[in-house]
Amino acid sequence: MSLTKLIPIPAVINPGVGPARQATMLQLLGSPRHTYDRECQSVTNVTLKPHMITSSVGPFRVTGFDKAVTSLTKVMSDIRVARPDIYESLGTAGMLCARFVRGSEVSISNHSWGTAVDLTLDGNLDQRGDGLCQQCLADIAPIFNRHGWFWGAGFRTEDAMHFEVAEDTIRSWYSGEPHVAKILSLGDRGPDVLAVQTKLNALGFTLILDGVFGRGTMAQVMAFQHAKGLTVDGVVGPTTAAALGLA
Amino acid sequence: MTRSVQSGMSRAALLLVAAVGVVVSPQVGAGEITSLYTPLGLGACAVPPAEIARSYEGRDLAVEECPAPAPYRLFVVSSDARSWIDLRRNDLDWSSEQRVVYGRDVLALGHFPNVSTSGVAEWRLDEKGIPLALIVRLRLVDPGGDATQGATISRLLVVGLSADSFCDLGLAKSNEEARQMADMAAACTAAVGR
Repeated sequence: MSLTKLIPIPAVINPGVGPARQATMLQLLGSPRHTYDRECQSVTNVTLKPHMITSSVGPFRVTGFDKAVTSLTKVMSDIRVARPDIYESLGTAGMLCARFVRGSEVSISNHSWGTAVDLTLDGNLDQRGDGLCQQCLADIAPIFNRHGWFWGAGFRTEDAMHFEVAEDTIRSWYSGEPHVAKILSLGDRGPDVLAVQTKLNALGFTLILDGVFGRGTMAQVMAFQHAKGLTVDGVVGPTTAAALGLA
Repeated sequence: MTRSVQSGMSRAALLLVAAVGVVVSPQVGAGEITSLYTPLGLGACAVPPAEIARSYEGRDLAVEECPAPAPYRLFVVSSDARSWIDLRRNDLDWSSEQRVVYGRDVLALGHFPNVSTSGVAEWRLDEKGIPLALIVRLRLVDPGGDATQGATISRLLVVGLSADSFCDLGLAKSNEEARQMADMAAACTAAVGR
């Protein structure tokens, strides 16, 4: 049987796992960069960057978020045992690509955090959006699911080459860690951002208290940093947080 | 003989180019062939008319239309992490998606191919100012480099143009190589699978 034989997307897939939401990624991992282009760029977030690693996961090497790479290695180990024929044919079309989706100023690629991987079989990439998938991808999807990964065949427009760490798996990595995003920057969201906005408004700034670190928040953070003689970078790190009384 | 690009271009093409503020930069190539450069940057490209945009949105794709000499229309199409160009001439459509996203040679070269936003599109024009070929720069993540530092690979996609067809002329490593491929675009009419 050809490893790349095409079949319809199975009716029941991804039991118990859902795709990671961008808001969750931004809240828990932070924004990978301060600014984005439409081309792939490296992660610059100083909290996130140390977690980006390059490593073999068995049949191929990837660069991605350390916890995702570790999990992917376990997935591949299980595939090697269950389906050695597929394992030998697996390759990757990439894991890490921090960029905006072209045509959008808000939608960040779900490869931006290095928690998603696109797979090839015998050097072939499954055609996105045709309602079909390579049989072997369907065969290994349950293994990914068991490790807390979501199969992209379940997107509105199927993307069967794509697997990503599921929403609940991301959340489980950060349970019990209330202050994961120790550095706040453009694109971040959540209660930590709201606290910064509240402090700034108490000092006379005029931000909308929405918990979203947008360009307005960044500009007023920069104005605050300038007034305090701090490095003006628009990022709320430990020094700026301390000056705001948030440390 | 050196000739001005403007002298051979249709009035409609000139109007389009002028309307979007594109710099026309004549360049003498092989024989009578010249170059016209049109921008691909974010400020130069815009959301196309709703009917066209909807056709892409239905596939969860984003699309921007970038300046092009008439009668051609140039679209940059983007999925989550990859982008490519689509071309339209009157009722004739052509997409580079299969080539850019699924081509085995591209897959072997690098990850996440994207149309370079820092570059321009180069249109090769014949002695009458008729576009013969289009050259667009692609940038890919270098799988052999340090992806944490954003190492990339660059290639030039060369597309042949004729009155009734488009054809893939290949990938080039340099501008010179791309122009050589482009200037053979007469072969487009005999190309397989166009």
